[in-house]
Amino acid sequence: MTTNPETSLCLQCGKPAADQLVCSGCGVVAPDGSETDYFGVFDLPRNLTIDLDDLERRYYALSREFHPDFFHDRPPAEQAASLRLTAIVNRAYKTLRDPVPRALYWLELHGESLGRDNGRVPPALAARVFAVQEQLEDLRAARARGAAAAERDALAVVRDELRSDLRAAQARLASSFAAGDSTSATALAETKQLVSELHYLRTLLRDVEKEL
Amino acid sequence: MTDVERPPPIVGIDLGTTNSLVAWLDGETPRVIADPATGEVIVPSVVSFPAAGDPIVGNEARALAPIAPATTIQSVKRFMGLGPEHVSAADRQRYTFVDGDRGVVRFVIGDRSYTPPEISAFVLKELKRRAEAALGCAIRKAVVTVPAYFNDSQRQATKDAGRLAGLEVLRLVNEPTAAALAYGLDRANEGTVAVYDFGGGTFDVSILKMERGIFEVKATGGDTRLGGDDADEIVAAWLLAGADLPADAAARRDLQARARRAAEEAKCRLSSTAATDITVALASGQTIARRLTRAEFDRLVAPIVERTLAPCRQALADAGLEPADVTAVVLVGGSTRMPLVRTKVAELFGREPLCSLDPDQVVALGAGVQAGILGGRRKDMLLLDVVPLSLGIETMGGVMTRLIERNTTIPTSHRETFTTAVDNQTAVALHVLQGERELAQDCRSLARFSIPIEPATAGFPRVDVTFMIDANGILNVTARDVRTGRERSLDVKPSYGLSDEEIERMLEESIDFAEEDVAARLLAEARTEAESLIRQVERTIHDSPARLADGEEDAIRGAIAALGAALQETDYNRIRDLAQALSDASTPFAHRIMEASLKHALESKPAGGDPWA
Repeated sequence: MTTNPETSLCLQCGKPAADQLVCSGCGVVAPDGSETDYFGVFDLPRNLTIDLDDLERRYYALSREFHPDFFHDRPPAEQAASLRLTAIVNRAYKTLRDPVPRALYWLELHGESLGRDNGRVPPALAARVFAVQEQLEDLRAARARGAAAAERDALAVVRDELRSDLRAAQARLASSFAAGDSTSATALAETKQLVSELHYLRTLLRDVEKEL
Repeated sequence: MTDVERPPPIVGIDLGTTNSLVAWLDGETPRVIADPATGEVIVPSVVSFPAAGDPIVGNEARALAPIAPATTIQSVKRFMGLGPEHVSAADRQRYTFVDGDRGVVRFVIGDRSYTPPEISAFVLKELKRRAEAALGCAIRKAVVTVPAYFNDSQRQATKDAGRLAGLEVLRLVNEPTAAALAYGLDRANEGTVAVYDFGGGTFDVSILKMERGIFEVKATGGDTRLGGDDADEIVAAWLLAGADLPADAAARRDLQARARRAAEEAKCRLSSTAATDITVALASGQTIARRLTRAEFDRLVAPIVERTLAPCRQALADAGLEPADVTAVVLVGGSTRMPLVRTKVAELFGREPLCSLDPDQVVALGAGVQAGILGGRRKDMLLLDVVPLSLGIETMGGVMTRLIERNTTIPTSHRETFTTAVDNQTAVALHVLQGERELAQDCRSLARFSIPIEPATAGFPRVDVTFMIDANGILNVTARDVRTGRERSLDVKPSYGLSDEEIERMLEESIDFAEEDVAARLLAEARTEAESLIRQVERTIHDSPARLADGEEDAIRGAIAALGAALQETDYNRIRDLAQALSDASTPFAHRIMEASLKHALESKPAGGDPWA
């Protein structure tokens, strides 16, 4: 499977329609909005810092306008457009409301993809990831023996630590957002590292929670 | 707008495992519709097939269950969208199925077979008949509820059942969400709400944020094969333990059906008493008699109740919430009458659950509200629901690659670009899956798609495939050639569904349509659709004349006139073609209106004040 970098042209009229929800050339709604600017969907500047209550109000307003529930009695072209638009609006909202996907998306817009390093554990977390994996193994082995109370308790402590670290990392990311959406190389690298750590802490916490 | 004949109401249907109901929005108030003849509101979801004559539905069929267990299908909802390999040993003992290990489940009744959607259609037809008798008009459109945790095949099967019953299913609504709609009519209930829906055969939990008329589902979870029926089975087994079961299968089937019925009645009594006596008559003339206390009953069903709690915790975690964040807990479904359920739910969420609306009726009432929203009677309310299970495709090494994560708000779409791996490859095959497991074999297979490709050098063809999950939670796949921009046709093989041809054939075979000429029906359908299209387009022109481009109105009016002329004739193919031409002629106009709405939505929003603040 490959992804395709070329389709930033409107599929209807062939004019560039790279980052818009509705093609300015012919008015047709982008087929799935893969190239739509998610910040633009909500008429917001491309800033990492977002007022979540404001974002939600914008999301609800767009939903009230375009949800297919309000179109079932309209001509087919409008029904289809409402479905596509709502799908794009939903995806844009999902991406922007959570700081991690939002930061990932923002980095992507600035040509910084986490893709290459995504599978690699951030160096700062390597030892920790290893230790937690070992504890998970211990718990599974203990379960297989039939008595896992001690291992469970130990893992619950790890879970609480991970939760509090995650909160701290989120706070750091938030303050880095607030520092002013700098697109200097250093700032981008720093954001990238923070997001990568956050991503890993989340995965780790999810694995632990699943096992408990 | 000019005077238009008031369209017949859209009804809301709760197609339950055990019982079904129909409701509608009467003005601003949802009401359950009673049978004018009997005053009954509940139709037991039971269909019995006598040796001769029409199938029997409802109470009468339910009474036949212990007498004719093999030809009386109960809880058919548990079989919707499943394949023969999913049928349990207990069910095989109870019913006869068509042999085979592929495709949909088929029940053998006499000398023919029935799929679950066909059997469900009999229940839907009874509800339709009832609504028509009570409201005094023909009912054609409905909203039908499904368990939130239903997968794509189960949803599609429910939609098929509607079609077979002569109903256009405008929307499938998740049962817990429907319940939230009914409760949400009272603004006092706004906040973060957990809906715990424990029915006859399914369990669902949904966490919603209800605010200013928007019902946003944050997460959902459940088990489509866990319900009050399981409690009955356990109590029936306890009842029969130690009893001398007859050796021959038919007698055993009969005894088990009686024991289940006795168990179910005892379960209901134990919701309000501390102990109850149960007796089951044996064919030999002897009787089994045992006394069941509430404490013993709680002990028996505790594992079942316990199994509902894990999805609750998961849904909370998925929503990123703690139990304390939940401001209200709503109980839905008959099985929440078990006192142990109430205790455990209150324990988990740390608050007493709400049950001010009848747990048997609340889902139907909510479906009635949604029907009203679709009918344009409640513009102030909107449901934003989620897909319950992740959707993906099988990739190298039998791995499930997720494209759309569970709990994503629907409608949602995802696009992938595919190419060929070898020279002159003539098709790209896709296996679409649903589920949370890592391996394809552990996920539910939805369908296999084959996209035809013109022969070329490997890697040269590029096909964009868009996976769109609509507001019903049903997947639609479309493919488009990147280089030519042309839509590609898809060859779809649903894993556990009926093909369009099969549904057509069933419709033709069913008694309701047998007397009608197929051509006459196709003509009638084409006419209805064309007339509705003309109405829609005329209304749009009337509402937004400023959006018309130069000469566009003439072109559209011309297309309307041509279609209008064809409507006087009887060639349904011509009507369809001209309807398509009208649709095409008005498409750019429709897009311009959407673009204008988009600008309007964004401009008239925050700073200017939220209309809901």
